Amino acid sequence: MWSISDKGEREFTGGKEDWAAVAHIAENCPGFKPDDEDEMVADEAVSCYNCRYRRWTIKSFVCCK
Amino acid sequence: MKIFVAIDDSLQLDGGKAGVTASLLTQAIEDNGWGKCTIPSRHRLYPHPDTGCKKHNTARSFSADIEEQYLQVFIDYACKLIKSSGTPDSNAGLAIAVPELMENTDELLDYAYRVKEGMVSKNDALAFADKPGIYLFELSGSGKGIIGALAAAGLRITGNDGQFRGKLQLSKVESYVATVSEIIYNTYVEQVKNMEMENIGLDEYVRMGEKVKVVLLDNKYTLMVFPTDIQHPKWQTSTTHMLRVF
Repeated sequence: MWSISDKGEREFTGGKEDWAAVAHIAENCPGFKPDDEDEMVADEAVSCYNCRYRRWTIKSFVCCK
Repeated sequence: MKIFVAIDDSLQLDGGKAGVTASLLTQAIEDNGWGKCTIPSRHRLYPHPDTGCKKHNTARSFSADIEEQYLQVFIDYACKLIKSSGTPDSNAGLAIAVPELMENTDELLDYAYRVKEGMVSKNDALAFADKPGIYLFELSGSGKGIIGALAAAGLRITGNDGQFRGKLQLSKVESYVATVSEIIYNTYVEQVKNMEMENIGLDEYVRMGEKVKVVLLDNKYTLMVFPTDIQHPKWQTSTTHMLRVF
């Protein structure tokens, strides 16, 4: 589910469209914090895609927590 | 004169304040009697870590009709506000485009779409610095914010990009159903379209969702809807997921 980059960052391997998986991850993540409302992209309020600690990459996102 | 103002300072991991800054700038223009503003919009740009964005790559923009003598006053005010509201690690940039003074608007629009779809260097943005009708300001850090700011100004000029700040609320009733004419009469929405970009008639019914966002299409405040596949109401406001293209 996660790959580790050369920089030691955790990148989600499911890409940008795995809505159910990232909602499940975020629900169980103590570090989840909702991003600015204008930056949200997922319908599920609690989702890595809506988290202020995600950083988009070309294929997916990196978790900064 | 009509101006397009855009800012980008999204380097801050815990930030997300560019939208607030844009709103403060519109407030200053109106409170000081410099002119009238439109609502700020958020424009998505190319999401890549090499753009220098820690969190996301978006920029904010709005247009304003201002008296020509207030342009420099506004620029000074905006630069000061953006500098003072940034954090030590932000790379804030401000761009102002004045189409009536520009020789070639299309080259700015081409640039804007390039920034939306791929990596663009700061030098590409700086190539516009000496062109008439374009004002660029590197306000903190590396100044790379001018790349996104200039793009957001161009995207706003297209009239077909971006989402507006905040959520639209027509009624406190959950799943409220309204006609298109009621929506247009009671909110700032100017048109309602389905996801195929077809206009929805004034007497058609729309179920208002929990989180209703307005987008910029045809230079109008636009509410996007999708079919419910039932007889009544025929339409439902589009979800966050559906609107991610804007």
